[in-house]
Amino acid sequence: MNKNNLLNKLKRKLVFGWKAFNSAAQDKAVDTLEYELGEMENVFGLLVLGAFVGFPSPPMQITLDLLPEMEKHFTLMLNKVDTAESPLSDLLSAFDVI
Amino acid sequence: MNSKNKDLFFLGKGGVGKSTCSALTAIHLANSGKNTLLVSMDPAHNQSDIFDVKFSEKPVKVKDNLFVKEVDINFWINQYLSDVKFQIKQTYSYLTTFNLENYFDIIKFSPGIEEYALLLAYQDIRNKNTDKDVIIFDMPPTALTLKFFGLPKLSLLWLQKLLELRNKIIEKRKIITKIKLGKKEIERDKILNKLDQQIEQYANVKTVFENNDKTVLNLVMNPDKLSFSESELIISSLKNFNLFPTNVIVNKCIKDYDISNIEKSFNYKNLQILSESTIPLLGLNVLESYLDTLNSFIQY
Repeated sequence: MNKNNLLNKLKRKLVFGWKAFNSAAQDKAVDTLEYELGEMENVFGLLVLGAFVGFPSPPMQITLDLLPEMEKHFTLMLNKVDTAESPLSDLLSAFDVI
Repeated sequence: MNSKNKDLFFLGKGGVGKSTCSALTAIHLANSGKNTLLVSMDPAHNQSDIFDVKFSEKPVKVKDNLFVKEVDINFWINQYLSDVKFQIKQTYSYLTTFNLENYFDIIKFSPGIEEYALLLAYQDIRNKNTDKDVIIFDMPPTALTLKFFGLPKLSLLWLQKLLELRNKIIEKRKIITKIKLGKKEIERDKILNKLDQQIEQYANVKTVFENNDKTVLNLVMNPDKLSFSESELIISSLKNFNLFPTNVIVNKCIKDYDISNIEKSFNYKNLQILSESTIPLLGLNVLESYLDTLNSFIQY
């Protein structure tokens, strides 16, 4: 009886441990994917809205037609331009140093 | 863009007589019973001077079967930009909209806006004149005309690349949503919708441009070296967009001019020779009298 209890306890601990490990791995994988997604969105924003920050851009009407759906990209683009003058402080904030 | 009418474009070097040739063709077709609309797409309009009638965006009847209008590019640019502004105001926060106001003041001067305004006008004219048998477009000089015809292909190139990237982004977003939220459906991406709409719009225009039954390109030239060289350049540039002029019109041809060179170079196309008029071709009566002196005219 004691032996069974012990085994059950051990099984529960193992399952709990596995779930915790799995969840941590999933979080880590999602973090990486989300970072990658964020970068792809940045590239998309830069491609479409490049004209606003001095990059080669598609014909203006493509940019203008997509602009109403791209507020997030547009704001980010302008923020990036603002911090472009001080890359060091941008880097430090990216690593959450300050 | 499903209208059954035929579009005739008159293009060529500045000053060769595109407006006169398109006016003569319009009168000729109207006389032969075709319901015709003549549209001046050149920002420096000449049709008002040729017909001695003040034209505007609203078509004016100049004779039976013939209406004439002049496209106001600034009207189309302003209307397009105010549409975009309206959509932005609907979706953006107040502060971002406020910041964008400054950009819109200069966007109307951006390269590319002029040819897009022409394209918008062209689509509107086709959609609103399905009752016409023929629509004749008197085009601006070479540079703007080539940009106009190249716009659908160039835009599609960009849009296909943006679509590829957008699809990758959506795929990645789906994976993240699946991991985080299980099988929950995500909303269809609005940017993807816009890209699809634009691709459809340009693909339609490109199909109409490339269809010789719907679109006929008439290259106007004069019998001189500069005009000849530019005509060859126009033909090779249009080739890049898969477009080929069907007819070549040699305008202001002086008596006894040897056109064998031109015939040799453009031998695969219909050639129309228009001899130089002794009097300025201005006014409906003068144009009709000039048409009476011609032995033959290109069949459309």
